[in-house]
This record gives sequence, C-alpha cells and structure tokens, in this order.
Amino acid sequence: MIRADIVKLYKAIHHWIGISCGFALFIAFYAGALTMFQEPIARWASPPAVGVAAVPLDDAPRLLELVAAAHPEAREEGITLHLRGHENEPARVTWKEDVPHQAGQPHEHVHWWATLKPDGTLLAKQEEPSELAEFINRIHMRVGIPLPWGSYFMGVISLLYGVALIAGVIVLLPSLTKDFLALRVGHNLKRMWLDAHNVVGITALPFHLVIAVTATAWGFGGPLWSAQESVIFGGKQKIVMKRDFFEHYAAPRPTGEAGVMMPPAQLLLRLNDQVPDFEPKVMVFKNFGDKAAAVKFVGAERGYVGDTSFGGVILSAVTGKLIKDNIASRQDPDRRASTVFYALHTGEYGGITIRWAYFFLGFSGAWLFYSGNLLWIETRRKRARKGGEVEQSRSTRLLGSGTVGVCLGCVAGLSLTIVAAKWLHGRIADLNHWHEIIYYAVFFASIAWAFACGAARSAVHLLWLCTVATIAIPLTTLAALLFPALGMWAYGSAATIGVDVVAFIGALCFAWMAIATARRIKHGPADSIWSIRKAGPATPPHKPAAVPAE
Amino acid sequence: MVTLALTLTMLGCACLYLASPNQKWLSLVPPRRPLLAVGSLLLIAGLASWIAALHPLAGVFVTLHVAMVCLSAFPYSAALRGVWRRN
Repeated sequence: MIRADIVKLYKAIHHWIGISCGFALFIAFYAGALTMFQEPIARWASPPAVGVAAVPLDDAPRLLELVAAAHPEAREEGITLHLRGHENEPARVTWKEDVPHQAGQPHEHVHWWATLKPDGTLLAKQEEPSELAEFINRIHMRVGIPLPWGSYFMGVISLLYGVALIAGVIVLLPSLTKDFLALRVGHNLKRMWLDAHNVVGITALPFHLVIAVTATAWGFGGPLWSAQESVIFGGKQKIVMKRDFFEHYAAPRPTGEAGVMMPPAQLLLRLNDQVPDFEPKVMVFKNFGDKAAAVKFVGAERGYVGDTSFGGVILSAVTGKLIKDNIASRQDPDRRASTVFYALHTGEYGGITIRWAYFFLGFSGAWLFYSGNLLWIETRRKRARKGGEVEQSRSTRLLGSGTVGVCLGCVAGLSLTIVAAKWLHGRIADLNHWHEIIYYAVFFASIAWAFACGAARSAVHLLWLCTVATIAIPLTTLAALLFPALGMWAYGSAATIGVDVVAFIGALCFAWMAIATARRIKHGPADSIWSIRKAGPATPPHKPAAVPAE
Repeated sequence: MVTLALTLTMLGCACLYLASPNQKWLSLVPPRRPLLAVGSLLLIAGLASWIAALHPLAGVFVTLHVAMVCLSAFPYSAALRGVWRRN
C-alpha cells in the first residue's frame, strides 16, 4: 500500500507537468500521428509533372547517360532512378544540385527531374518538390520552433513527459486493478474524464514510455554527443563514427577512368541474387560513367525493426558486384541496437499494420493531453464549488481557452495547410513557405479566438473550423475531378484515396464533437467553463454525481 | 499470414477485455477464467503468427502495439455504444 502523502506528491507532479507540457505534447502527437502517413500525404500533395511520360526501365540507361552528359555535377551528388512510380516522384530520374553558399552555412539544394521526349532527347526541368510532409514532420519534432532550440525544447518536454508518465502510474497504483479498462460514462464528469484519460494512459503505457525515452534522446542527441566526445572519448568518437558509419557506407571514390555502366534492370537482378530479401525503392548512381561508379539501393529488408529508411546496399554499377551494405540482418550489434531504438519511435517496421497502430496511438496520445487538461479543469470546478455553483477562477478559464485554442488551432492549421497544397499550386511563387504561413496564421488566430470568446463558445466554433478544414481535403480532390479547369489534380492510387477517406472520417468525428460540445455549453452545469450560462444563486443546482468523486 | 496474425491478436484482446470486470460489451458477466485462458492462447498464437510473418523482434513489437490499440479502443467502443443507445 502506498502512503497517501506519496500519492499526493506524485499527483501534484503529474498534474503540473501535464499542464505545463500538455500543449506541446498535443501538437507533437497529433502531427506525429499524421507523419505515419507522410508518404501518402506527400503523394496526395504532389502535382503531376507536366508532359512527363513514364520511361520504361529498359530505356533508363539512355536517360541516365543523357542526364550525366548534360548535368555532369549530378554525377557526384548522385542520380536517383525511381523504381515505384509514385506520384511524389515527378519522373523516372531526379537529382539535386548544391546551391552556392557561404562557408559554415548549411547546404541548400535545388531539385531537378528528367525524362525522355518522344523523339528520344532529354527533357530536364528544375522544380522544387512539395515539402508539405516535411513541414508536418517539423511541427511534430519541434512544434515549429527553429533548430537547435526546438530540439532542446522538445527534449525537455519529452523528459518531463516521461516523469509525468511514471508519476501518473504511481498515482494510479492503488486503484489500478479495480479500475483497469473501466470507462464509466455518467453524470460524474470528473470520473468520466479520469477514466477516459486512464484507459489510454495505462493500456498504451509501453508506447508512451518508448516515445518519451526516444524523443528525449533525440532532443538532446546533439549536446549529448558533443559532451561524450569531449568528456569520454577525447575527440576520437568522430573518427570512429567516420570510419564505422560514414565511410563504411560511402560509395567508392571516382578513378577518373571511364567505365561501361551495367543497365539498371541487370543491376536489379544482381541485387536479387546477392541480397534476396531486399526490396529497393530507388537506385542512386554515384559517379555515373566512371570505372568506380556505384549504385546505392535504398529500400527495406522486410521483417526487421528499422527496415525502411535505414537499409541500403551498394553494388558496383560496372560489374554489379556487392561492395558494401548496411542492411538490418548484417548490422553489428551496437548499430542494430541504435537502429531498433530509432525505429521504435518512427514506427518503421511491420508494414502497414504498425503504421495504423502508431497512427491510432499517436491520436490517443494527443487525446491523453487534451483529456488531462479537461480533467484538471473539472477537478478545479469541483473544488471551487463546495456545495454551490460559483464563477470559475481566472486560471481555470485561461487554461480552458489555451487548451481549446492550441489543440484545435493545430488541428485546423494542419488540415488547411494540407488543402492549400492543391489550391495554391501554380498560383503563388513559394508554396512551401506558404504552408508555414497558413499553418501559423490559423494556429495563432485560433488561440486568439479562444481567449477572446472563452473556452465554451470557441470550442464549438473551432471544432466546426476543424470539421470544415478537414472535410476540405476530400472535397478538394472531388473539385479537382469535377472541375479540371481549376488546375488541381486527383490521383487514383489507394494511398492518395486513403488520405481523402481518412480526412472524411476525421471531419465526421470533429462534427460529432462540435455538436456534442454545442449541446453541453447550452445544457451542461452552469459553473463550468464549458457553459455559456452564467453561474449564480439563480442557477438551479446541477444533477448530483452518480459516482462519488475521488 | 499478416491477416491471420492480426485477427488472432484482436480476438485475444477482445477475450481479455470481456474477462475484465469493467467490460461494458455484455450486460451479463461472462465467465472470467475461461476467457482469460482463451485470450492468452489467442495472443500467443497471434504472437507466433507475427513472428512467422516478420522476424522475432518485429513480431513482438507489432503484437504489443496492436494489443495496445485494441485495449485502448475497446472501452471507448463500449462507452460510445452506450451513449448512442441512450440518445
């Protein structure tokens, strides 16, 4: 039996960490859930490349030769040959070029794609791809705060989140067995919110612990690495890293002698012979045309944890012989451990099942923080009431407005910025910058609206905004189909249709929540911040709780 | 194999939920011990299927995550059904 004062202490820790970190965690989890479908979103948002016919793999050698001849700088950076034909891959061949930059400044690139014209000549165009999916990922990783402070901030938040999880479990321990899987919906709103919060917090605890630990490591990765380097390794860590990782997985240096390239179709056969379980997505040709040219296959070795973006195989582009690999089944134990650690955060294993599981768990995480704040507000209301209905304190009202504004502002902002990918394409110069402007404009306007109107009214307004913004995703696709003159596009692949279907279901959920909230603000207890009625002596007392509060 | 593994894991979790005294799917209280036993067996079979479909480590993690989703979602599904019935 845990002493009551210990439970009280941990309850205070749990509450205050939850209140102080809940907003950032909501944004991280909601955007994180969307990043599980980063590729389908990128495919949905990418415009079709105009005048690009699919180049068969058998014609790829000619295309590669023409690109290497016309754009020799692409040889060193690497020419990417796409094997899947997804909508976010504008053509069979793409590459990027360095933009001139000052020493010490980060590298910036411009992107090119190339295809063959009907007469067999080269058509190459510089075009920046949609960065919508990357923007959502940035919101997930750093809630919009620039590097490096965003990483440090989320590192601190994640660390506190881990502490809050442990404190929450300690608080729940006395009633854990009795209340496990209980979700009691009744007149006692505090009990309902507590159950709704606890069900998610306890059943998904391993997921949340893993996310807290990995996100903390991620947030502080840079400073921890530097500290280790100077305190423990004395400058040798960088050398070891370079030898064991960067050089181990780098393509060979060019010799300057010309070599005859093996056709991509044959290279794929050679890959299949030497690494049979590896499923490549793209082939990146390094130093094309050189005797030491290499082709790096990026893809997955199915079935392993960390199978998606970590694996790779390098073959000689001249002989097809295996040069190096970094595949899961052949990684050394410490590299394997770090890959597993990383992949447990990103959900890169187990295919579509784990993506959906992480998607739902991500949303449940966002719900955990939203319900946690509501629970705190409900607890305050009960404390303040003491038998009669009273006006809620300023702190309660402010937290209510903040919760509504930040959480729903993030939801509406992300939905609208996704919609903008189609509506604004070709109408403005820098769409990737506009994604940021739209998101932040909606996000901060929602917060301002929530504080101006109060939590109750603004919750209904903003939930309807979320509904409209989210249903605009499938409606935009429908508009693209019905009105081609609008200049938008609609793809028929399962992945892109899936984005529309999920958005439609999400919009229905927001509409249902808006209707339920509208009902509550009219008929719920008048002394709640979720009511538009004024509390006071004339207000009839609310129906007593069916289940006693804690 | 993935479909089989997913079905077994979900059925296993459904049995575990029904074995809970706090389950709200059935108005009658079902026998707890047999459900716990069946649920555990189904989960073990699900785990074995996931391991066969993937690799051991990935199989363990996928089983765990699917179970977490199911055990989070089942109480909510029961609560939502109750709310709809009342309305």
